[in-house]
Amino acid sequence: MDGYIGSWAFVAEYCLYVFVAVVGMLQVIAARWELRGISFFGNKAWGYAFGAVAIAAVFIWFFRFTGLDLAQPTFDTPPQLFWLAVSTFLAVAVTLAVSSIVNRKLASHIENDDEGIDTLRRQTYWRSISKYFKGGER
Amino acid sequence: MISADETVFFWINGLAGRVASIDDIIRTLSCDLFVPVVMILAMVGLWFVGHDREQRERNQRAVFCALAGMGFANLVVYILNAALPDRLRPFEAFPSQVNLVFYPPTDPSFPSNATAAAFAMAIGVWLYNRKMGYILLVPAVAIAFGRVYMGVHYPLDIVGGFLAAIVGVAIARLVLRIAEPLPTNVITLMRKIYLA
Repeated sequence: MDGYIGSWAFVAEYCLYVFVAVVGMLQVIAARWELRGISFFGNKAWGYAFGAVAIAAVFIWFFRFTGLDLAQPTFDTPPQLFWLAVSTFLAVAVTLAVSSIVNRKLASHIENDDEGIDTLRRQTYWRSISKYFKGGER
Repeated sequence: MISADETVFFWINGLAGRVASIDDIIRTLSCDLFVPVVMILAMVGLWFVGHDREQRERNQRAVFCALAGMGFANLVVYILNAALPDRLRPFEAFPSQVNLVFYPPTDPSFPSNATAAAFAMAIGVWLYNRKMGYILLVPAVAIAFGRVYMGVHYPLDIVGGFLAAIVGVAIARLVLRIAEPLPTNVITLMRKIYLA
């Protein structure tokens, strides 16, 4: 690997590509499954639109508007899997953080049978996890 | 059988190099940078969705099985590469006859590692979620066809990759069963911190 492929610029673009795609996917999921606590938008339609546009745009950008040449070797498998995992976890973490800030005024109301991800239908991740660490109260 | 393999290879690879835009689309759809990201989006989706707790837990076990299956399928390919004599890639065996529209890989031709990984993820999911499994077979088939079209694998390499995927997923399922209650505990822990 030499030149553009294998450079830090390529790694950064690859990570950005995965990151934006996963963030977009999470917004589509939030809209479809009404997980208000991890959505960036109050309106489901905006969630679908943002997610679909983000995924489509980042795929087009990465494959058409970067220095990528598919006639040249790309990543070896181990570094690719590493950066894929790092970008995915970062995208989940950033989604949880941003949605917790955007939805900070979301009412903290949960049903008795809510648990796990279902809790995020009605309150943010930050609120859920901080209550958990304060002593098990949801 | 080898002769039939080469005949089918040349029939499919003969389609390449005629229309640049079609080559470009197939090269993109079956490269190492497209299908893995599609698969990871599917894994993220599966992890978070489900009509109820039982269905979501089933999807989360599908993610475990798909990822472990991919790992074991790659291990099977690695062992086969070490145990079998190297099969030359088509563009190495027939340098003047093959339409090579991809970069020339340097590892053995049989079995196809990329195909094994893609099918392992699709089959791993299919065992738990039929609908999503069928959907994930689409990118797996795309990568399988694309590798032959682009001149880097024979059809038998693809069949070998598919069989490696089946073996990899079978091993993964067995290991996950033996590892119980670890997978259940991981899901329970993730549920406690609102991530499952």
